[in-house]
Amino acid sequence: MSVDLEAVHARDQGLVERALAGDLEAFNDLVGHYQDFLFGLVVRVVRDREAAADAVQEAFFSAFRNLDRFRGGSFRGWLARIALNAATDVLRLRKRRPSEPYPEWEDEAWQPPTDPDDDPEAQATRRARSRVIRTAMEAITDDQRRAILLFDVEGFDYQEIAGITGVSLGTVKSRIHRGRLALRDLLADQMELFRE
Amino acid sequence: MTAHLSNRAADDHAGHDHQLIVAYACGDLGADEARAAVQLVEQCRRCAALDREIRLMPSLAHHLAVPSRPRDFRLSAADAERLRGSAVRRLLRRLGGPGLAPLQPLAGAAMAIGLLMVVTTAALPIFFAGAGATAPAAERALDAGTGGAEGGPEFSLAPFAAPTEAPLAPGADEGKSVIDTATQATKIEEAPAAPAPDPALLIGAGLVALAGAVLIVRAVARRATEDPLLR
Repeated sequence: MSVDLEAVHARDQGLVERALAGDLEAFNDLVGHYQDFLFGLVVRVVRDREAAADAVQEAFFSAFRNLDRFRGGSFRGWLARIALNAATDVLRLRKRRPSEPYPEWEDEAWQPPTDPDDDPEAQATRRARSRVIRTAMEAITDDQRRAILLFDVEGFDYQEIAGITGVSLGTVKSRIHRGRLALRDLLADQMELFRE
Repeated sequence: MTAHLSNRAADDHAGHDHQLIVAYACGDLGADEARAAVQLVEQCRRCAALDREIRLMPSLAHHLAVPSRPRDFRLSAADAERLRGSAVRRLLRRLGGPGLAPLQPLAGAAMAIGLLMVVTTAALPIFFAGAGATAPAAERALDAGTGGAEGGPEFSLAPFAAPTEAPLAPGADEGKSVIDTATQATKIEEAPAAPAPDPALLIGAGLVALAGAVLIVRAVARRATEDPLLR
């Protein structure tokens, strides 16, 4: 474990202990550290800002209620597991109501952050890449998408992902391999867009 | 000719193990499998392209846009108060903590075995001793009442038969019946008392039953306070 990661675990553990002793500010510090990460993860899974926000809020409520059941280790991973379970509930609900349309992904809120130094062409490329990747991610299975997001975007290792998603290490690897292969097939005609 | 070779290469590639190439590109192969993958990558142009493109995938995911967070998720004091729940719920949560979870499957069995042991330890000696002590005493009493020579079931009504016989044999017979009843009572009182159950065994059985009961209460409390998001 890197020194940075150890320091983060120690900081989180301290905040958890203070929160368990009744210090709400300590818990809110944890929320402050992880709310962007959690929202980014969940919104990519459920693809709906409002639903994702509700799921994340529910995840923090659940974390607060069950803080005494956190057994140390990665607080970020523990939160991710709770939030992904909340996301699963959102997706399950959506499946039961198929008439509910998928949110519009071309919403301004989904546009990639722009660098003020970018010229208009670079910004256009950035947007195009984001749109292409998003469409491809939409086409792979939920399980593969979660595994790829956790591994490639959020930087969890296989073991952590197995803990977060509640499956075996082999299943995690298989989901990542199949997901990457599916993404590659979906992006085959547009790979030029990603060459610098 | 070129088209023919190109088609052949395509056919060959279709038969290659793509998952092996993907696993190789992800760095998840052992030495032997990696050698097989390297061989494919070196010999098949399209396997080499697959390897390159799979290696590119992790960086592509970073191009995904993330919408801005619509609100702050910090908890208010009112939220915290509501989430802490009532005193009963807090007690249930404490009872339903994860401790002793590995013993949970034994809860029912422990309680059943413990209760059975309590019952058998406490009741059976009394039952057997009671049955063993009263029967010989009664027999002895009856033997005494009938002179002890005949025995057998027909004399078991001797104390009750005496008044019926009284008119036929007045005097001495009546007196004998009174004496016989007194003797019987004395004999029954003299019968050995039932042995007390072994206290150590009784306490042990009680503890096993109690442990089972505690585990069951914890399981019920855990179920009552279970959070589906922690599944």
